[in-house]
Amino acid sequence: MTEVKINARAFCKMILHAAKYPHCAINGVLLAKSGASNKEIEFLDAVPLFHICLNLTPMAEIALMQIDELASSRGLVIAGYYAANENLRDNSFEKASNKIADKIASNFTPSYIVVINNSKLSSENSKSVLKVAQITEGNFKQIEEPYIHTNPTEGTVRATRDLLQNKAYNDLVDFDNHLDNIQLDWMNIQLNKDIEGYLQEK
Amino acid sequence: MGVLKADIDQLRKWRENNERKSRETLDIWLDRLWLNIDSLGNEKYLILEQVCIAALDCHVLSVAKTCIENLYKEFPNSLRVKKLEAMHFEANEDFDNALDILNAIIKVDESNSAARKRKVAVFKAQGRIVDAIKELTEYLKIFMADVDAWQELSELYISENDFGKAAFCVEELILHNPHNHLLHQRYADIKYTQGGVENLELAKSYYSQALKMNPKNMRALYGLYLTASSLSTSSKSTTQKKKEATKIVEWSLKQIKNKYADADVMVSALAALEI
Repeated sequence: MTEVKINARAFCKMILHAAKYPHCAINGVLLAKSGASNKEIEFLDAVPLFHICLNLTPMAEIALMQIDELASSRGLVIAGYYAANENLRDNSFEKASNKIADKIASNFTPSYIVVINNSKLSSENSKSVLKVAQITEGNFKQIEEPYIHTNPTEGTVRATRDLLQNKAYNDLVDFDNHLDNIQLDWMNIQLNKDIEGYLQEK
Repeated sequence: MGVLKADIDQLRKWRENNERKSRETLDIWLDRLWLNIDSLGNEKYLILEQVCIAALDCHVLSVAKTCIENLYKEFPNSLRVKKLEAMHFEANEDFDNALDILNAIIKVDESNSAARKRKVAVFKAQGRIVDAIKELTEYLKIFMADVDAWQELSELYISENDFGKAAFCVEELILHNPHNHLLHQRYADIKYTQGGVENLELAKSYYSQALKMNPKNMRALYGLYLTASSLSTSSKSTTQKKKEATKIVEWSLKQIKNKYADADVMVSALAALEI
């Protein structure tokens, strides 16, 4: 089975996005190095996209165009889709998946879908809060937990906890926020630095 | 007393503006107000209701329970408090009891719109979207001027990918509120998602209208750009239409660039739009 590594930066931003909008469904994309092997994938960064009306496509197209451009200039590629459903108990891949996930799958194989398990979301998040599946020809092949790793293992959990305690979710910017005020940066460069800072702390 | 007054004023402002601010409301309550419950003056019960809903939102059920008990002491027969009790059951995922209470409220007071809307919320929480839609359409037959309900119904239809019906709901909303640019933009978003030349033409008009009402609406600007670019390359458009669409593409791209220049942000990702 493929090994899935999730970098702290990607992990924290996914959790913070879900924490910022507890009453909404949210989604975003995951970036990995281009030319990755089939046996292993490492998600280096996450770009939070939307919390308003996920199923409408125009703004998603704009976002994907821009992210693709920026990612490729940095040697990255959109390799995964993440989402948290609106309903607390609903953690299925089927419900979370939408046109964006299909689009990513048609551009990058194998692509992945990550669902944030709402009922496990708490102040002590470990990797078990994420459900990961590989998308092959429209089917979801779930990756079992032993094959999912956060990087660094301990530091990521601690950094997420500290970020949540300090309400860092207020600093996270998704593409919807950017469309409301284009001065806000959806790459979250400042937040990335903060996450780095928390990781350094012992 | 000074701090207390500032807190009460803050809560009143959020209440009147219908801001959600649940975490903040709960923090104010837990930090200061609950110790001074009897010095809240004549707003005491309004604040209790507000804090109760905020606490349910944050899943701090003990606080919600306290609020409900306090409210029951003053208003033992109030349907409004009963509704809060039903919401408490809802938060506990005890949906049967919640529905029983809501049905009882509706039986006593047929025109109780809040209880009917809560029923929709219960179905939604249970993941019974089809039932939620059915309940909400029944509701809208009686309360057809309820804009929020139309909004919710359109979003439910969108979540079910039933864009035709979602568009109908937004048409209703535009009739109620013809000068709201967000509604025009939302209608165009739906039409664009549906696709096809006819829908794209509609999307183009509605995005343009949204932009006319509010030139700052970035979604409408991007939407207009997207719609025009697919119309300009569509094999089904006439040459005349294609020419027109190309002009709109150029115009909107220029506008987008100006917006970013004005905002003083350099976005290299914008290069993606140049084809």
